[in-house]
Amino acid sequence: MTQADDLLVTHDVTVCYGSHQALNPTSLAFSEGGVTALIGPSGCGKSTFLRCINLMNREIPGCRVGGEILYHGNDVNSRSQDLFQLRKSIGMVFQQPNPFHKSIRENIVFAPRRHGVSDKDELDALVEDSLKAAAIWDEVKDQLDQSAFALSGGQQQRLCIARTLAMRPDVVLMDEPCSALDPISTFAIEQTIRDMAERGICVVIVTHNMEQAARVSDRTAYFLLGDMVETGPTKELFSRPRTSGSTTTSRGGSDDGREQDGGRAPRPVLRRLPCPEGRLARAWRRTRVTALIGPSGCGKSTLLRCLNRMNDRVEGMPPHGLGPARRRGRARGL
Amino acid sequence: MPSAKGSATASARRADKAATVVLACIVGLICVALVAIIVGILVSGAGKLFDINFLTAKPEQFKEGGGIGPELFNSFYLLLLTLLISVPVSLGAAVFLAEYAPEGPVTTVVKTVIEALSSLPSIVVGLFGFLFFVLTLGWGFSIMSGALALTMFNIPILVRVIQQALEAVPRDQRDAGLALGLTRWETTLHILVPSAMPAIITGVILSAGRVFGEAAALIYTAGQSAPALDFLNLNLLSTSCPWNVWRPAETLAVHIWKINSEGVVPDLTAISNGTAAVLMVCILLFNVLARFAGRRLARRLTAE
Ligand SMILES: Nc1ncnc2c1ncn2[C@@H]1O[C@H](COP(=O)(O)OP(=O)(O)OP(=O)(O)O)[C@@H](O)[C@H]1O
Ligand SMILES: [Mg+2]
Repeated sequence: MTQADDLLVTHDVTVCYGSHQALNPTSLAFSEGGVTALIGPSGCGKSTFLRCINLMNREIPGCRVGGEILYHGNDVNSRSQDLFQLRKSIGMVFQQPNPFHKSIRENIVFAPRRHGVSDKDELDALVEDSLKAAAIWDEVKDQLDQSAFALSGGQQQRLCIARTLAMRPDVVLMDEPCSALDPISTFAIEQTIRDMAERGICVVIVTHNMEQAARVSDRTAYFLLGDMVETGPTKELFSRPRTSGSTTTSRGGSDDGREQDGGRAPRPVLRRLPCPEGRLARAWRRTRVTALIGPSGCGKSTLLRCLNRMNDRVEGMPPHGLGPARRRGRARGL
Repeated sequence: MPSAKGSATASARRADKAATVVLACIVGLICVALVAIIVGILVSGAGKLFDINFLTAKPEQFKEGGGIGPELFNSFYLLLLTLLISVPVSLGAAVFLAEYAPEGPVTTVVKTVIEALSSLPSIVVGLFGFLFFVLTLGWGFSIMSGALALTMFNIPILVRVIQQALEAVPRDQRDAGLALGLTRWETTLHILVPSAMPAIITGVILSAGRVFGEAAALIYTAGQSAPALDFLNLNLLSTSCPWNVWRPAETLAVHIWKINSEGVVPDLTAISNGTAAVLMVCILLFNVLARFAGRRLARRLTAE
């Protein structure tokens, strides 16, 4: 499996949390410009595996790693390996968007500046490049100095991806990066992932979405209960007929996919609603399922918060357009 | 809405209303008590509060008409020195405990000790300061002895507050910093501390209020005499130089205690009421200003 151009190779990597072995010996190889998807049901050790690659597991007390992880041929756990340099070149995007409590620009330039980039023009170019690469530049280019927390969840996640790309990493580890994104931004991110791969970045992405794995990845590794049970080129893995040998594998995989992305689940009745909020309030009736859809940042969560009055808790947010209904308690009847 | 569900909701709603009323009553009572105390103090001291002479003149030993000028200055100077020493030390200790100290028996013991120290009676701190700083080290009754005693009294509280503020910052902020190849120190200093800043500032303000009004810890350390101050005197070794840290320095709170226990001036009630009002106003002003500054600082640091 291991080839000469493999950037990152793991040999029999095991992980224990205390006395609980969360990952059994796993050997995988990741090459430059390749996208590898890690799939499998919840709790099977995908994030655990991902975290050992850039040594984020060191932040978890009681976590022990066995085996070898070779990056450019050097063991990442050896003494001579510079932890900070390693994390700089092996970036990570988390499941929950976690921008810093800083402005959008600061979110991008903060780490490069700490790593010694000080030229203002260079930093400005970096901001623009990384935001463009993460498909969010057009949305935020006029508000670079505003807080990143004023962005929607999906926008925050793309900002986090941009922040990682600003470090010019070799490898990017993504732990379910799209679980907070709408289909359009998910598509944009998938495009970004392909672009990254084209530029020679090695991407490892954990996903619960089988279709996404099929779309973006070159190789797929399937995890089950702490074991890496199957790996291979994505096309082969997904198109293989269910032979007796791989029944568990594929069934487990598709179950998982169905649960998570709703791809094959019965679709809820989807109604596109006109946007004026007064009409929206009237359009919803009991026993009907209404889906709110729209691109990231278009106000779905905001509207939802208005309806059950969670917006009362958000500082400086008036109950737009729902004022009278709210007071008469009509919105509660939904 | 179905009726069974409706009644459950109704009772829950009633409980919610009742809880709201009860809580509002409690808060109301507390507010009334506090406002009564504050207004009482301010009204009884109102005559002196705006009397420039009272605020600037030095106290009299036997005649009436003495002021509290040196005490006012001493209070602020001691507070400033105390904060200058205790905030950096506490910040360091709290960062260590929250971010660096490995989980284990030693850390647990240290945390428990700090919690115990934060409820140490201030008179005990004062007497310790008297024995150690004043006698053993031979510093005498001095601002330095007082500031260090106050620091000892202040540090455990500040450490706890700052540590809790740091631990309340979500884990993922820390992970985000570390995953970008930043050191733990950079992550702490540039990401965690700014995020925790509002809580830290609130803690510092609350502890500063306590320090400003503290008497027991100072009676035997900073002393009970206030030498007249000459602001033109820059000789740091002279007793009348305001900045000299080796001179005795009575503060407002100690002054109140002293004139009430052994004062012989005829207008001691008026002076004590006036001093209490000044103390009160200082603490209120200080709170408002510090909160304002804290919010400005937090906004600068977080761009919110
Ligand atoms: N910090 C931790 N401390 C102890 N055990 C942990 C820790 N993190 C994960 N585990 C355990 O390791 C196993 C694998 O967890 P992991 O987070 O890697 O799963 P996952 O495949 O990423 O699941 P998901 O798809 O839900 O994210 C689980 O049994 C979990 O209980
Ligand atoms: Mg996970």
